[in-house]
Amino acid sequence: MTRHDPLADWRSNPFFVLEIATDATPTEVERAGQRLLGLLAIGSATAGTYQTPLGPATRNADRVRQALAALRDPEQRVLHELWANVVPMGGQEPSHADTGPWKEAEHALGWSGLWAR
Amino acid sequence: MTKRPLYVGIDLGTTNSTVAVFDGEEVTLIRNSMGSVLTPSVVRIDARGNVTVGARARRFLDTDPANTRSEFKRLMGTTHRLEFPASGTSRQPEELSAEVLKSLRQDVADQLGVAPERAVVSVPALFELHQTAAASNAALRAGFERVELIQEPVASAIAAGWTQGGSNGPWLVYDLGGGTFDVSLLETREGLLRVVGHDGDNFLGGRDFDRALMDLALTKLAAGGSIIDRANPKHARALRQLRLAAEEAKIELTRAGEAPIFIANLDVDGQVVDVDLVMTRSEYEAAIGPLVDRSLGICTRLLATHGLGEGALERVVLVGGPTVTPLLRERVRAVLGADFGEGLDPMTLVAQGAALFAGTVALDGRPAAQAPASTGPRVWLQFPAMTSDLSPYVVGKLLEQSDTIKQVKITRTDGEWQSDPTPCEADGTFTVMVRLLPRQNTTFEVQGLDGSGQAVTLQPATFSITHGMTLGDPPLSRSVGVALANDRVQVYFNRGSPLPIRRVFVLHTVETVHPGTEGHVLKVPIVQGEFTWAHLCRLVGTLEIPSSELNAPLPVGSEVELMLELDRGGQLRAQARIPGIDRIFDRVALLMTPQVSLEALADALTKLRTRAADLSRAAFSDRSGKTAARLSAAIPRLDEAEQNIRAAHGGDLDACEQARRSLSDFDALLAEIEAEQAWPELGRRIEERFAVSLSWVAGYGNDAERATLNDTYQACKRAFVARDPDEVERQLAVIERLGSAAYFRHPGAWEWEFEHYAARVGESTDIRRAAELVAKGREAIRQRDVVTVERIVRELWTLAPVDHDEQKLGHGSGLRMR
Amino acid sequence: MGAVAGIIIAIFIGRLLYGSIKVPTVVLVCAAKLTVLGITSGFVQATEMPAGEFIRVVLLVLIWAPTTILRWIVVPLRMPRLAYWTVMICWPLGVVKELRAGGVIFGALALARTGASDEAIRWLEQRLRGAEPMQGAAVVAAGLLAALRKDDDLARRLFAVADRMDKRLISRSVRAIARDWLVVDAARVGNWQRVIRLGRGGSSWLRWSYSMARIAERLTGDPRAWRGWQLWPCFLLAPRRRATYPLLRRALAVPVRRSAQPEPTPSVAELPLALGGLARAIDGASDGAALARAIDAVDRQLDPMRDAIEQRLNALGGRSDAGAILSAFRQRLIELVAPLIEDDPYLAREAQRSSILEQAIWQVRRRLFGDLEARCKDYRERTQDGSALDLVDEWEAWAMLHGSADQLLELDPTVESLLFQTVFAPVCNFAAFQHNGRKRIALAHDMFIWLLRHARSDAQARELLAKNVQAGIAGI
Repeated sequence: MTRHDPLADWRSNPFFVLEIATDATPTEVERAGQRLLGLLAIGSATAGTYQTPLGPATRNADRVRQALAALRDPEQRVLHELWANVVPMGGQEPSHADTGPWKEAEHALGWSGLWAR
Repeated sequence: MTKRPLYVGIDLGTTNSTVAVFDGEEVTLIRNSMGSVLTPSVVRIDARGNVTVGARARRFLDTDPANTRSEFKRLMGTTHRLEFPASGTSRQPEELSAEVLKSLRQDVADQLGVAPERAVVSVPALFELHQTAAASNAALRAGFERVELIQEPVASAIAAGWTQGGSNGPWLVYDLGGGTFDVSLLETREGLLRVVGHDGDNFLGGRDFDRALMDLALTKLAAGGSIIDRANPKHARALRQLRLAAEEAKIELTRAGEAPIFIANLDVDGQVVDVDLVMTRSEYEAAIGPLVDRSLGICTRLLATHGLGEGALERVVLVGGPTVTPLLRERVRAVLGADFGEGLDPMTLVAQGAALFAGTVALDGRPAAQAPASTGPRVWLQFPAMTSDLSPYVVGKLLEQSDTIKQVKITRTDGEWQSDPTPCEADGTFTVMVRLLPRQNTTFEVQGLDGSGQAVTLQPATFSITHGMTLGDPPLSRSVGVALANDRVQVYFNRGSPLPIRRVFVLHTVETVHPGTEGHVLKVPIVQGEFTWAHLCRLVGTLEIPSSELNAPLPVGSEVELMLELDRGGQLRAQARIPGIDRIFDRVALLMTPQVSLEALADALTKLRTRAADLSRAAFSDRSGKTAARLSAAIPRLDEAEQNIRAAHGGDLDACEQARRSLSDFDALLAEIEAEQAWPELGRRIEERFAVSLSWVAGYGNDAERATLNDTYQACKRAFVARDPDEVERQLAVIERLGSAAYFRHPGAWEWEFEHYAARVGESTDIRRAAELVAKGREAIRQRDVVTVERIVRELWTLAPVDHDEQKLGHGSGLRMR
Repeated sequence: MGAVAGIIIAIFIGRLLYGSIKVPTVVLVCAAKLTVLGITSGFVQATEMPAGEFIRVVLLVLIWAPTTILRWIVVPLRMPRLAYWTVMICWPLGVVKELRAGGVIFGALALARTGASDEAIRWLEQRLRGAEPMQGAAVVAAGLLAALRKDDDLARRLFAVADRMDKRLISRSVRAIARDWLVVDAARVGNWQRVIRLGRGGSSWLRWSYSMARIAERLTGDPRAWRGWQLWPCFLLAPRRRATYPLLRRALAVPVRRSAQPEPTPSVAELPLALGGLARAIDGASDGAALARAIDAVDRQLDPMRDAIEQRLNALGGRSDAGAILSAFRQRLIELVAPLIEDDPYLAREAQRSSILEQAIWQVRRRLFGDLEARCKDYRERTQDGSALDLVDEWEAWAMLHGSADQLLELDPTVESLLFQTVFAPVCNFAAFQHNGRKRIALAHDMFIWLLRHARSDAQARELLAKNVQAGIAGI
């Protein structure tokens, strides 16, 4: 029933956006950001998406700049470090339930055109 | 010189302006036609319409003040027009600033042979959006094709960091210019310069030191029987001459223990007066002491905000002419407990820093045609023009022959380093880490390699990177957001956010708008400031959605996707998309600060005094010592505002702006105190309302209502403890409704209600109709016709005056959050 | 014979027009259809047309089974105009009281497979705006148009209104469309609890949604879940068997358990693992208890990290204390959770409430009340001004208010009294204005019924509303 992606903000964690470890030095942070800004400026095909422990996400120059600004501030950096250190738990469904979504629902009923993507 | 990059930085000051250029290795100050690096920010327009800028114009400040204007920087972003009667023209402050910038641009052309097309211009850190927009526009008017802005303390910090080398820790830039005071807390860590925080006062500067000395002189003259009144327009000329003399005396007092102020035959409204005074340094220091203390108060407030105590600073960098004052230097050292940065010229540091910043953002001022050409397949390179990283990345993309060139190699021109051949991706992109030479400009050659390893010359063949500082994007100095109908602010950009920046929020309308409704406009007010309450923030623009442009009704709660975007130049762009009717609106009005009449200012001053007095009384009776102390500490600001209003009557526009600003700040302080006091008052209101409702429900309510009243009261108290005003109001409304329902079961209730409204007929929205109803109501009471009395009372309710104040408080906003 | 029948029917119609006979619309329509069939048959027989039998069969099908034709032939052809005019000509009984709205419903369904161009949607919208009267079918039509415009939120609210509408205002088949959409909307994101509530808790029992509810019970391991021999007949009796079959297979693969086994609490010793659990709970977002446990697990890890945070701050040169960081972290947690609760308030209802969850709930509650108050203010003002919107817009506005109120009640049923006191006066007065001033009986009736349902705490209001409901019934 969710209208939006609840994990979108989490995936925008600066460490994820810059694809760096939480113990990266300030120089490494700047270097990663500067490299990404360059790649995005020249329209690199791969720079626009990145992987996170919570799934893939997209980025643009604005997001990279915001990430750099956030990691330059010590308080914000510590906060983002806490959120970035996430170990995804194994995707094991308990054997007594199968609560995954019915992804083919609208297609099966011929109603694919009735929901926003 | 033109073979090297031309990074231009301009300090557009209140009193003097400076331009510097950075070629990748060193910073050079540009001299004007008078041979000075400082160009007075003075513009004169003569009878023939000729414009003179700088020292030549300044000479006429005394002899032709009507056509010679100075210190207009503090008026940027307002709608003031400055008259030039000789030529019959008037100009906005922005246009005058453009003349100064044009002159500086010409100076660069004269010295270096090329008129720059791009530059960085400095602005005070606490300039608001409309002021920064005015600065950008001034530069574009001056002939620059592109301009970026930088806050003055950041510029100073860059220049200081460049000169002093790398040292870690917090430091402060204390920038006291002619008209504005900025203080910035910065930090350098591993070559990265970060602005931690800003504070300042847009109406505190060297000009105020002049005025303090002048006031001292006026006092001495008055004691000698010669009265010169700032509020009297006829004394304006005399005051100008006196101020110029005071300025010279001020400069003298930095070196000597006393300085004379001598003006022979000063014409004071027809009376000739000889001014022959001696000002001592101790008198001067006593006069400017409060101003210096005010600036230090701002500094300590900034440090406290960021958790820094005494002795925590590594150093203090002083910027601006007035910082040479001995008293100031002594007090700053004593209060802040840090050494000053040495070898720094406070008069030109900002311009130097602006030029260095132009280097970090690769804003080369040379016309495009001047860039050296070379042959070969084109490559698009991205790299930092300046960085503290000795091993930055260079990213590139082959724009031509990407199928034949398989690898790329980069070689340092000193031959000491080259990269391994780096393969290109399928889309022609490559990434290479290069090695810089420390603290200098390093040039590299880039070559392509084909399948057989043959070198292919690329275009451009070379590029340069300077090893120095890394500076983040310039931070936004004040939060920007949208005022909502409930007088709250939906913050879009927090203070300190890097620029440029863009955000989109989905808001909802608070009223139904029918298309074509005459004069009905849905307003989206954009505000700047740190207050929770929108009406205390500064309105910087309004995006308007006129009902005449709607093609369908817009019901309440309709979604509005509102995008705000700020570029580095402080230019704001706003766009509202209404998905329900698939329309986009992007017309933003009202970006200038409107001119306020002196009468309005005087009226506002009176009202603020009354409010302050009421609050003081309440604070004393509540034994709220802290509140009383805050109020009494702030009252002198009202006195200062009063003085400025008087000076404004004498034609001092700057004093008018200062008064407006002081009154606005005082209003905000009172609102804060009122909000703090309102909370205990709300608690009392809960008890009172509950007591009244309980008495009615106990007598005329049923069991369910009694139970509901009790539950609601408990919920109300919980909301009060949780400090949730909306929930408290909601529960209070239920308490009142329950009481009201029980009250109206009393046989005499409708009659009492009738008498209550009959006594207030004069306040009705339709007095004639109300009077008719009252007459009918009396007749119905005489006949004991309760049903008719009830009907009449209900109609009288509809004629009661409506309170539109809440929506006015939110700058008339038509939006709310979901 | 046909002529005699025609004369009898003409007299009947004449007396009907003069109001001396009151007959339900459906009966009238059936009579009309019989008349047409009778006259046509007579004509074919009399003229001995070569394809007479064929024409009679076609007419028979068109007149008596238009819905079948629409569902199996016209809608799959994806021709909205054809679907609309088929309804207008053939008068399906399910939408006979609101033919135009019914035409729009089938027109929208014709576009449901692949979506629609703006032009097609506009065409259908214009048909709907001219519809008279506007009752349940119009609401469902508006919902389908909102869904085609990708405004899921509005569609959801309109369908929710239709699903709970008084049966006098909506036919069973139209209600089924609304409920089926809601069921699919929940199932496609895995909100099986909502599927169960819709299928088993609705005001009318509808086959497909009931079958889906039973399947959902099996999927979620609900102790009430049916075994295979019970599920199969339920499935076979419901429509859309081919579409639902894979889901049935999934459900049958889940073993039945008779007692609710407690979820084993994973022993989470570190924040990263707890955060991983939280991410998983959020991504699934249909099990309130699991979400609450995950939030709690994260919250418990925070205070022990105070020293580590302090050290890290010092290393980076920060000047705040660890308390500020933890406070900011908790605030972010609340902001992460609040939208989930707002989208599905039941998530918070059954959960053990920690302080984080409580604050998130409070945030949502504040927003919902703010929304309600703004809408009530609009009703108040428009009642005073006597201004009304187009009826479709009014239904949409009512659906939005209704939706926010429902969300509040789902979040916290104890807030019913406060909610009622907040909305009663503006909504009741507005409904009265719509009923008396604008003759929009169905809309007003729906509002009165909804208010009456929630007027438990106010006897006086109940009395007034009961009278208004009766007036509405009389007017329908």
